[in-house]
Amino acid sequence: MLICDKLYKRYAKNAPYAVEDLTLKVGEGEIFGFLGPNGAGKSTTIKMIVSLLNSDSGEVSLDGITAKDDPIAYKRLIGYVADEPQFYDKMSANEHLAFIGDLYRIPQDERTERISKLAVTLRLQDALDDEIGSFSHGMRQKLAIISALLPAPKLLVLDEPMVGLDPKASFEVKNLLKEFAKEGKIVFFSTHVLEVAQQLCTSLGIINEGKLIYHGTFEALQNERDESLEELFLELTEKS
Amino acid sequence: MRIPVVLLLLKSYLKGTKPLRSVTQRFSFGKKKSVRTISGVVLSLLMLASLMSFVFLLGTNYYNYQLVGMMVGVPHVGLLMGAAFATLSLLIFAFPAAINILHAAKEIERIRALAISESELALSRMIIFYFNFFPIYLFFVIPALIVGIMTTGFSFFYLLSSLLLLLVGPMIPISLVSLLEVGVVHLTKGRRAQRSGELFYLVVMMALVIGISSQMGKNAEMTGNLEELTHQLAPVIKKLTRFLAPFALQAQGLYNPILLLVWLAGALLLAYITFTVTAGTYHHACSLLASGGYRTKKRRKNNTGEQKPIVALMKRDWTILLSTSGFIFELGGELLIPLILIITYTAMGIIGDISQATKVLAQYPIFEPVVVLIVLLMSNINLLSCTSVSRQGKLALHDRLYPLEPKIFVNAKFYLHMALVGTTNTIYLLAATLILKLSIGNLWFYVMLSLISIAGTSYFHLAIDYHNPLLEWTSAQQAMKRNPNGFLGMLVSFLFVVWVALFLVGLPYFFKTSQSNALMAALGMAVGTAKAGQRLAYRSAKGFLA
Repeated sequence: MLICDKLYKRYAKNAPYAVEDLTLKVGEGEIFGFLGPNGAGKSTTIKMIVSLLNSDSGEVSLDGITAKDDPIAYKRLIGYVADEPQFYDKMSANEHLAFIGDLYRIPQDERTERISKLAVTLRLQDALDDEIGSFSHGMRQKLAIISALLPAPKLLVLDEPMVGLDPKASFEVKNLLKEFAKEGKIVFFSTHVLEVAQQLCTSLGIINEGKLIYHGTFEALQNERDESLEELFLELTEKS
Repeated sequence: MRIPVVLLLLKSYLKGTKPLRSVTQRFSFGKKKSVRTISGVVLSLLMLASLMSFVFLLGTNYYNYQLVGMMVGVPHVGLLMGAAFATLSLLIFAFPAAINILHAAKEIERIRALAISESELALSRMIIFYFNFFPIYLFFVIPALIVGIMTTGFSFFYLLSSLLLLLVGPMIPISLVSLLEVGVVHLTKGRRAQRSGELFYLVVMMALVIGISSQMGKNAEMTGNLEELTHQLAPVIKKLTRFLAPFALQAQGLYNPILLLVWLAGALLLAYITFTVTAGTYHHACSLLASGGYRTKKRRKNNTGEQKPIVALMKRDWTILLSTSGFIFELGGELLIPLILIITYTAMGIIGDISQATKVLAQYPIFEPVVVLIVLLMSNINLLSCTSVSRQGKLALHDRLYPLEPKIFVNAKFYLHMALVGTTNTIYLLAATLILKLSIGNLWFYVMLSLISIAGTSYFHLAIDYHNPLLEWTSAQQAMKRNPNGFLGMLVSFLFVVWVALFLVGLPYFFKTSQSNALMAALGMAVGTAKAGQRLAYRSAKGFLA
C-alpha cells in the first residue's frame, strides 16, 4: 500500500506551501487518478512520491518502506514516467532499456521477454534499434512507459501519461495500466483529461492550491450530486 | 531591416540567458548567505589572480617582441603579435561554438516562427556571436596595447585607434568563422555539420600552427653576441611581418590615420559580406540543419547483454562523452596534449635539440622526478571528472530514481577517468622513460605515484561536480569550458601536483632525504589525499542523489 502521511512542501522560506498536509492511501489493485488545475501541486506530490524531491515534513511509504530509511529498496519498487520524458538522445531504445535492465539487475532472459512483450503492446518493436534522438514525443512517451515497467515495479507513477499519444496508443496504454493493476499492483497517475480519469480510475484525488480537497471513488463523489466529473471538478476547485 | 526588432531580439537573449548573473551564481557555494558571499569573493579573486598572471605573461612576451623589433628596425612587432594571437585564438575557440550560436541554438526554432525577417535574425545572432567572444579578444589585445604605450608613449590618437581596434578587431575572425560555418552547413547539407566541420578545422589549424612554428624554428638558432643576434633576428622578424601582413597593417594603423582607415574599411567590408552571406542563406541553413538531424536516423544492433550496474553506468557516461563533438574535441585534445606537443616539436625539428638538452639536464638528480611531474601535470589538467555530472544535463536528476548506492555512481565515473587518463598517462610516462633514458627501475613507482595522484584528483573533481553540477546548458561549451566547476577542477589538479612535488622534489632539495625515501613519502601522502578525496566525493554524491 502507498501511504502519503501529512506531506508538506514549499520551495522558499516564506512562499506558500506547494503541498500542504497531504495524506492519502492507495491500495493494491487500485488505479488512482490525481487531478487538479495547473500549479495545484500534482507534480510536486509525484516528485515526493518517487523521491525526486524531499518533503519538508511528513513521509511517503510503500509497503512499509520509506525512501528515508531504505532508499534503494524503496526505489526498486517504483516505476516513474515523467511528464516530459528525457533520454540520452545518442542511445538507441534498446541500449537505454539494457541500461535500465543492468541498473535494476534484471536477468537477460527476463528482460528480453518483458521488452519484446511491452514493445509489441505499444507498437514500438520496429524502432528499438533507432537512436532516441530521432523519436517523436509519442514514441518517447512509449519508451518511458516500457522503461518504467521493465523492472516490474510494485507502484507505477505517471505524470500526464496520455499527453502526445495518438488515440490508439492512448487506448493501449490504458489497457496496459488496467492489466498492471489487475496483478495487484498500484497505478498512480496525474491527468488533466477528466474523461481518462473517469474511464480508468478506481479512485481519485483532487488537489487544489496544495491541499487534497477530495479523495475517494468517482461513484461516491457522483452519488452526492448528480453531476458530471467536469462539473464536480470545477465546483470543488472553485469552492476551495 | 528593422533595427528595433534586432535590438529586441538581443534584449530578449540577454534577459533569457543572464550571462553575467549565471556566472556569479556559479561562483558561490553553501546554503548560508555569508558562506555564499565569502566563497564567491574568494573564487572570484582566484579567477582574477590567474587571469592577471596570464595577462602579465602575455604582456611580457609582447614587450620582448616589441624590443626585438625595435632592435632590428621593425616597429610595433609586439602589437602585431597581440593582434595575431587574439585573431588566432578567436579562430580556434569560436568555430566549435559557431553552429550552436548562429543556427542551431534551441531558441532559434521558436524565434524563426515569429514575424521576423531572415536578416534581422541573422544580424542578432551575429552580434550575439561577436559578444560571446569579444572578451577573449580583449584578453589577448589589451596587454599589447599597454606595451604600445610603454614603448612609444600615449596620445589621443592612440587611444582612439586602440578603441577602434578593440571594437572592430574581433569582427575579422568572427566573420571568417561565420563564413566557414555557413559553408560547412551547406557542404554537409546539415548532416553532422558540426563534427565534420570541426574535424576539418582542427586539421587546418594544427597544420597552420605547426607551419608557423616550423618556419620560425628553422631560424631560431641564436648566439649570445648581441650584434650577431640582431643580424640573425632581422630576417626572422621581417619574414614574420610579411607573413602576418594584415596584422602588421592593424598594428601600424594605431599610429597612422590612413592605414587605420584602410584597415577599418577592410574589416567592415568583410563583416558586411559575411552579414550578406549569412542573412541570405539563413533560412536555408537552419532548414538544412533541422532536416539533417532527422535524415541521420541511425539504426544499430549493439550488444545489449547483461552487465553489472557499474559497467552500465560507465557505458552510459561513455555514450554521453561521445554525444557531441564539443565533448569529444575538448577531452580528446586534453588527453592528447603530450602527443600533439611531440608532433609539433618533431615538425619544428627541435625534438633533437630537446634530446640533446636533456642529456645535460639528466645529470641532475632532480631531473627524473621533474619529468614525472610534468607528465603528471599534463595528464591531470583535464575536465573529464569535474564536469562529468554537468555533462549529463537535466538527466543527471534521473540518477536519483535508480536503486543504487551513490558510491556506485561515483565509482563508475572514477573508473572511466582512470581508464582514459590513467592509461594515457602510463603510456606517456613509458615513452618519456624510453626517450629521455630515465631509470627503468623507478618506473614502476612513478607509474604508481602518477596513478594514485590521478585517482585522488578524479575523486576531488567528482566531489566538486556532484556538489554543484551545472545541469542547465544549451551548448557543450557551457557544460565544459564555461563551467566554473571546470576551472575549480583545474585548480585542484594543479594544487595536487604541487602537493606531490613538495614531497617528491621538496624533501630531497630542502631536507636532503634520499630520492627513494622522498618517493615513498610522496606515495604515502598521495594515497592519504586520494582517500580523503574519495570520502568527499561519496559524501557529495550522497547529497546530490539523496
